[in-house]
Amino acid sequence: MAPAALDGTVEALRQRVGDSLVALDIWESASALSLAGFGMTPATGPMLHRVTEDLREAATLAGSLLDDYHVLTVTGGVVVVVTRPQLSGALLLTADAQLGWVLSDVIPAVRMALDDASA
Amino acid sequence: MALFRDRRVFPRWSFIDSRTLARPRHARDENSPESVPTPDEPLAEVAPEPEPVVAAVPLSEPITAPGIEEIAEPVPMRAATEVAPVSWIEERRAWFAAGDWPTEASKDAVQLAGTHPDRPYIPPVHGGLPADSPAEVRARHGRGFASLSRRHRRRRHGHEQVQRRTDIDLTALEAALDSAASTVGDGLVDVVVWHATTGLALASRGQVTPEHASLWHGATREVRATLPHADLPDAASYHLVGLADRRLAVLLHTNRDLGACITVDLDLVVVDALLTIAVPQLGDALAATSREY
Repeated sequence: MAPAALDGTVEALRQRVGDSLVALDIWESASALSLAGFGMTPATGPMLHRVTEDLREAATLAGSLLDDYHVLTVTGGVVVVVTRPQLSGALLLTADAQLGWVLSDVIPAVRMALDDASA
Repeated sequence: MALFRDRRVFPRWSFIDSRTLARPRHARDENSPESVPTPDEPLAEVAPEPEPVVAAVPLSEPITAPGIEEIAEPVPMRAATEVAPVSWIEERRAWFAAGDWPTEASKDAVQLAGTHPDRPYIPPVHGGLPADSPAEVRARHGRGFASLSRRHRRRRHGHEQVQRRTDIDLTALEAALDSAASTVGDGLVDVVVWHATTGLALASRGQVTPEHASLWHGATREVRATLPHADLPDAASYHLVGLADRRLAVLLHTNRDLGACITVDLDLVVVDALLTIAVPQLGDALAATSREY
């Protein structure tokens, strides 16, 4: 994947989400290395990747299968993590973002953008 | 008095007056004034004794060996009395058959078993209780150390952490789960509440195993512990985890003592209504069930 393509993905997501997007990070799912983004530190991607793997293991042991997303509410914002086979991404949104909109619009858009960038 | 060590009798240094000990005949008292000649005193001349003269005795009879007296057989000083053979077992059998064995200790036996040979032993009326009332004992000796064990008087060191003691109303917890189930409606898959310290499931609705609660509890702790290392703010009220088959798990960690997980079917539940009505209600109900005392 070309870095220019990832930069285009970042810009497309910024325009899609709008002013609610505070930070964004895209990392490689296999190595958890950050590839593109803005507003986040290099430690954010690997740590969120680790959190996702812990959740996946817990869900598997509990008899369920983790889907490719989870949403964390943090102080003053919302963190959306989407994990795809090639690329994964995390978005930090403001607290006024409605979670219904996040689940029905933002997450499918991120999923599609990551798949397009990894193709 | 001389201090000396007599290895034959006294193994240690002892104070023994050496003048009281028997002195061998050939030994001279070196400290006596008679034995120490003064330089002015002339030495007395001792005349030599005449040598003894041994006269020869003529042998008139041959010398015979002295006779050996015959020693009689040793006779005991006390004559042996006629003692019948005693069988201890037969004696006890006879005693038991008579039936006169003692069933309680006699006075002599009690006195012999006492701590003092002469002083009469008086058994206490009741060995376990003091004769004086607690009020008299307190008036005489003060309050003792009982005040130190009281909680509000106890002084703790700085490094000690006072353990929080919480009382969880399980009846109210069941009522809270019933209320949440009625609010969510048919879209509710399961809901489970666990103890935030131990991860033990306290109440549940739906098909939930104890391992289910423990696993979600561990995942919640991992997430909360990881967020600071990811340079993100602290976790807020809940965590949405997307599951397969269009299910959504909502992990609540607003309460300090309780954790909860609601799993819903996204085809039957409106997410905004869930997050704005059902989840806050359940959070408030969980907060009301735990009370610190």
